[in-house]
Amino acid sequence: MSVFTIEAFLAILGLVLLMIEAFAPDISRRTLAALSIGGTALALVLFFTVASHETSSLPAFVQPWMKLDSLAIFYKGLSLVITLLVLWLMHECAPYLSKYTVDGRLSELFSLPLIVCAGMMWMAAATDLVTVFVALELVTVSFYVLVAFARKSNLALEAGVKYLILGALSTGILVFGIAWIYGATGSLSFEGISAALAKPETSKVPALLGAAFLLAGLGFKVAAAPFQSWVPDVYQGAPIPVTTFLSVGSKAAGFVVLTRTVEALIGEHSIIGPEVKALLLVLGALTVLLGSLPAIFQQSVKRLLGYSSISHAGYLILALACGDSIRTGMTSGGIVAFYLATYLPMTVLAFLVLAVLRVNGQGEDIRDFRGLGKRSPLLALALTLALASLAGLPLTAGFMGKLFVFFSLVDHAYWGALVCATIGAAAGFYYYFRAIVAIYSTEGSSNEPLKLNIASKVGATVLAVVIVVLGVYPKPLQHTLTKPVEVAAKASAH
Amino acid sequence: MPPLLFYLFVLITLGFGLNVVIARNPVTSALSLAVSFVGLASLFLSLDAYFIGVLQVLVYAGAVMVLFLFIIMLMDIKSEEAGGRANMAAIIAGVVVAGILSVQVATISGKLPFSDKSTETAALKLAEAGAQWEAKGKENLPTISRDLKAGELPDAKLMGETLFSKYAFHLQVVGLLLLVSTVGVVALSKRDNKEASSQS
Amino acid sequence: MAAIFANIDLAFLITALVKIVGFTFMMILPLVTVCVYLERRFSAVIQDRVGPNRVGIPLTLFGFKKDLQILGIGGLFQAAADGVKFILKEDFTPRSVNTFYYWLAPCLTVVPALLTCAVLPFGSELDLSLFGVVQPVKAVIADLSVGPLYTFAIASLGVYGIVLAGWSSNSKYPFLGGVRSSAQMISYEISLGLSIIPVFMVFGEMNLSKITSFQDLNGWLILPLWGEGLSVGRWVLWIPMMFSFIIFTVAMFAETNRLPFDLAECETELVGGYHTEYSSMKFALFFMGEYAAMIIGSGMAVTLFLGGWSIPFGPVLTSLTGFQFHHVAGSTPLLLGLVHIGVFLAKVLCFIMFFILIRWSLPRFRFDQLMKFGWLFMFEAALLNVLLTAVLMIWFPLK
Repeated sequence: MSVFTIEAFLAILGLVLLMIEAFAPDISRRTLAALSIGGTALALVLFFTVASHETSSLPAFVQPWMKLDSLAIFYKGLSLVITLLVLWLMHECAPYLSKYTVDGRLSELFSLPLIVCAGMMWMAAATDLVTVFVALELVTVSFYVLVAFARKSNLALEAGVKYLILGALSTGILVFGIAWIYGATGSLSFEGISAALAKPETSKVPALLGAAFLLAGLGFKVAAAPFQSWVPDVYQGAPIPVTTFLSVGSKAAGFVVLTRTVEALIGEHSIIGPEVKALLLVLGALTVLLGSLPAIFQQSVKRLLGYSSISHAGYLILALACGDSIRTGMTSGGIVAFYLATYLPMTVLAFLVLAVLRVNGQGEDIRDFRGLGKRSPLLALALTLALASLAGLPLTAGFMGKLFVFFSLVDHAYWGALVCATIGAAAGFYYYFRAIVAIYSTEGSSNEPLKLNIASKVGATVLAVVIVVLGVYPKPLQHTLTKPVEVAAKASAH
Repeated sequence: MPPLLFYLFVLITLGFGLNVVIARNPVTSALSLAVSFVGLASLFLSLDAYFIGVLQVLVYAGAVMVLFLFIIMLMDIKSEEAGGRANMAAIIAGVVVAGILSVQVATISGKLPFSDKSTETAALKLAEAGAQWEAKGKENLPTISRDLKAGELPDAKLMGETLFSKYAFHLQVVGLLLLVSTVGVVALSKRDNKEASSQS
Repeated sequence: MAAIFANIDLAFLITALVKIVGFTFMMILPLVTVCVYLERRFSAVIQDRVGPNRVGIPLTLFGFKKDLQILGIGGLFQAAADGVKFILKEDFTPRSVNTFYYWLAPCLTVVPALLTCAVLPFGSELDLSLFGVVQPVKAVIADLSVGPLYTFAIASLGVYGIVLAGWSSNSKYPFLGGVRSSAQMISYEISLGLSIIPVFMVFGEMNLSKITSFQDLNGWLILPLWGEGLSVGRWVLWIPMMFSFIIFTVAMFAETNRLPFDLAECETELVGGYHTEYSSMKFALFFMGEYAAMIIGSGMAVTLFLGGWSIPFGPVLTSLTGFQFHHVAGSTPLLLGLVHIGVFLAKVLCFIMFFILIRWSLPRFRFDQLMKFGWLFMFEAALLNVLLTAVLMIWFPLK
């Protein structure tokens, strides 16, 4: 069995669930949820058994379009994990979400994430822009539906429309960029583009224009400045599980593509390398600032996390701009992957707490956190950890990710970007800790304990433990991700 | 194609494209866009890309724009037609951005390595391609090599061949995408039974 | 300026012009009047009435007036009288209309309908060596490699005329008619397009001239009785081709807004549909557009499924009688070329009679039935037919 079989299985399971919904509308939500969560869990287990074999190969008809390197395997695993978590969150949120959907039906919410997951997994392994494009569109179009799904809420409708319009615009920009890159380099595969750009006779200006549009299009998808303005509104309006999916899944998928694109554009001897690097540095620094500073004034937790997601994207872009880091022995792709792996548990944990509050009839503002310390000490502790980790407190997972980014900025002596990143991190401490303070303040809150089911308790505990473990002992994860550098070094030595 | 016709079609495409933006009446805008598509289709035809040209008209001018017009007609457009005060800042910004972009693209197009080649010198070698195609043996489609040898460019057949063999995977992903978007539209636009019954 | 004209092929230009004028204005447009006459006479026969039979040129016997009828054909100048009536009537423009689009709409109905005939091969080829033209002239205005798609593309623009007529009239019945019509045409365009994909698959070809030549030698698509048509493969593939033919014909009825699908102008509900506010020659243009679309549609069906201009059993007749009955590229006598044009027109006329027969013998659909039928039956049937053809072609591939 190959990894591709698992992806196809997920997509087909998604289709089958859609069909069940269409032809057996009376099927209970619990059954649907069980089918989709069970299917994803099965896929995850199968994936770990298959991916551990180095020999797992792809069927012939996708051979030319996909490559299973360790980065692809890592992101595929990440996509599966986040999909599983999101489906579980969907199930937890179902009681409050069904108030906002047509006839209280949620069936598409359990089938579309599977298709999104297949799309993200294809994106992770894609080696050329056509495959990237179709997989990216599959993911984006599914997200248009998911974001607007709670359509009886005006916020969700607004979010859906904004996401649709800006998403369609960014797709147009992306295609325009791809067309120019193809015109300039005569190739659509990352290898071909990289090779063509290394030749001095390739015309530089058209390639630069293409690169600019390509980066702008992808920038929309990963919420990089100046294309970040949709994020707070969409995060606020979308249902909580979908926001989680957007902020981790969609971002991870966008960054794996961005990683490969940037690697192709700034490869060795690339004629446009310096310009693209400079562009990325400016974009990254701007993204950090435009994410962190407005976040200070936010009252809604979802908007706050939206801005936080922008500033995290900024750090990731800075990491990509730096290229390989000698101090940590990681490639830029490795740093980004590590950062995203640490980003996953803390974001999911924050949204999980938000979902629990929502189900218990609370709102989504920071003041709704008040009294959480008394109402559920476990959740309060977990949320504190998650927010501290998002801020980048030492001994949490978020610290290590930020540390690597700062290391590589220092390595390459990008002092301006370093200053911006520091300002962003400092602002982060302020706004995350404002939320933490709210958790432990008692003023004007009810004291009745929150109703928590076993699954939420276990989930919160596991995620919190993961955050601490990754913060204290990041070596194993770091080790898996440093492998590509060694392999690449060996390959170039031969 | 004589250059005269090229400039005519370019004028149609760009002129009506501009009219889409500046027209007050939404129906005029929609129709101008349709005409602009037809102009674009003529440009495709002039490049021997008959299939794409015809699809441009069939899909965009003939189906998508009709639906647009349909929606516009169902909405009340009186207020649009009367027109509020124009937002000068937005207009100026739009014009400046569009101007910069077109100047940029035009300059860069002039610098492309093949911008000095004309179509007459770069004639297609169809007969050679036909022989190559036939040499592919079992996988070749007889109608394609027959057309190529007769000196015709079988654009639709070549495109179909590429789409269904080389890009078969992508085609299926796009199929999935279309299904997802259809399901999404239906799911989002379905009437709420509870709401409808409570209203009546 | 001289450089621009230098590379224009004058002979090509003149023959193209002659073909355009000859086919569009001297065959299609007169056919419209023939259709109008047939429609009125045939409906009368079906309903056991007399129908128009008295119109002729005054003081002459031209037109077979009442006293001089042969086989019941009389009153041949009825169509001309109708035309004169349209021209002489008052051209009334209501005050509330949106004038520009009100005037544009009739043009947008007629022009696309007439444009679509450009790719129809109305005959094999004409050997004009008598007049000093060296190369035989192909009897088709533009021999495109994507012929049917071109026709569909231009025909799909025809809906603008109807939609705009409905909208610009600024009146509720025309508006309802326009909305109905656009919904209907878009729905049935899908089955129309899908229904002929199996045909392209079997021929491996989208060029209408080549399709017709093939049928000339090897049997019509739904009547494979000679040449290679007598093989097992063709007869197995005959099943999906028959489905294609049926779906195509039904969808074409809907596309041309003919009964039982004429919901856009159904007079019992909508007074006159989208052209309620039109009078005089503008109204006549809608009429002409509808009939021209019908003629082109029939021409398309004839070309794809019924051998176009080819004479039935052409190659067999050639070998039996010694005279040439089938088309041979480059050596087809002028007379045979003319006969082919005649055969094409005859087939089209028969098909139009079928159109008229259906109109006067079937009741109209309800609008929701129409949409349901289009989306839940026709679309799926056309799609399954593509699948069926593809599966059958695994065992009976194209040559």
